[in-house]
Amino acid sequence: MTRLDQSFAALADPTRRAIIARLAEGEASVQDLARPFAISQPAISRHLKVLEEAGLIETRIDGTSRPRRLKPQAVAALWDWLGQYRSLWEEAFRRLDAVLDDLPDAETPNPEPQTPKGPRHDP
Amino acid sequence: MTPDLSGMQVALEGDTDVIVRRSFSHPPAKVWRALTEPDLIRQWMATSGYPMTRCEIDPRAGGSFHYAWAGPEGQSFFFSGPVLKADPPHHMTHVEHFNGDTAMAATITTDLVAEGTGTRMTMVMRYADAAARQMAVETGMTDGMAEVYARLEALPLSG
Repeated sequence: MTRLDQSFAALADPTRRAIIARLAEGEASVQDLARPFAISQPAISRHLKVLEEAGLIETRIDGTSRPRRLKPQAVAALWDWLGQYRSLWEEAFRRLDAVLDDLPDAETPNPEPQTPKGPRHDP
Repeated sequence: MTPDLSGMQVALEGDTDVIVRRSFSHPPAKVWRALTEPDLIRQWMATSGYPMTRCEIDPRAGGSFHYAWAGPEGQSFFFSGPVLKADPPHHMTHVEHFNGDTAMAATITTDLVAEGTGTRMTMVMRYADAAARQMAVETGMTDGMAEVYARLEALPLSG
């Protein structure tokens, strides 16, 4: 498995995404992370291991406790990337708007019955 | 996950569908052309960082499409698959595979409905199951794969 596959696999699981979301608020113990989920602590530990192997989180050693935290650079890139994904469609559609604006109307067929649905968008 | 960007909506429906809705201020006939004519497709599906190296579509039932891009570091990727149904300028159903991987198929239904002098577009992307959809949405496999790859590769991954 490549690192990339590992990241995809790590993020494909809803529990692991929830763990990432929780860690985005700050570091947390394994017990804290297990609390919101109806699964055992060993099961949470397995999820944490997957996330750690994918390079998304790390363990801080603090005396006898082992809080988990997001790897700061990883989370910055990850959040940025998710935002990027959401905006990809809209960026493409804005370019499509421009293509449409440049197209001549010549081949427009007969008017069709109007079916107003939802808000009209005029760029 | 329903960001609303200038009238665009992305929504999850049921276990397997991702729905993208967007209005355009031009009629369905023009939108159809922009979605099915390679010269026009290139103008909005390619970006400066990701030029299209191949852009072919035969938008008829029994036809197919193949869109390929080259990334800034030479990584290339493509989407391809069969066209199942086409009813210009209102409807098309096609199947999309990423990099030829037929195990990761999305069936995409595109409907263009006249809305005043414009068009309301609804795209339904249907995945095999909830896990496949989750994978596609959360990791960006439905679109912008190259950017996703580039960003994931930039992550300081250990191991």
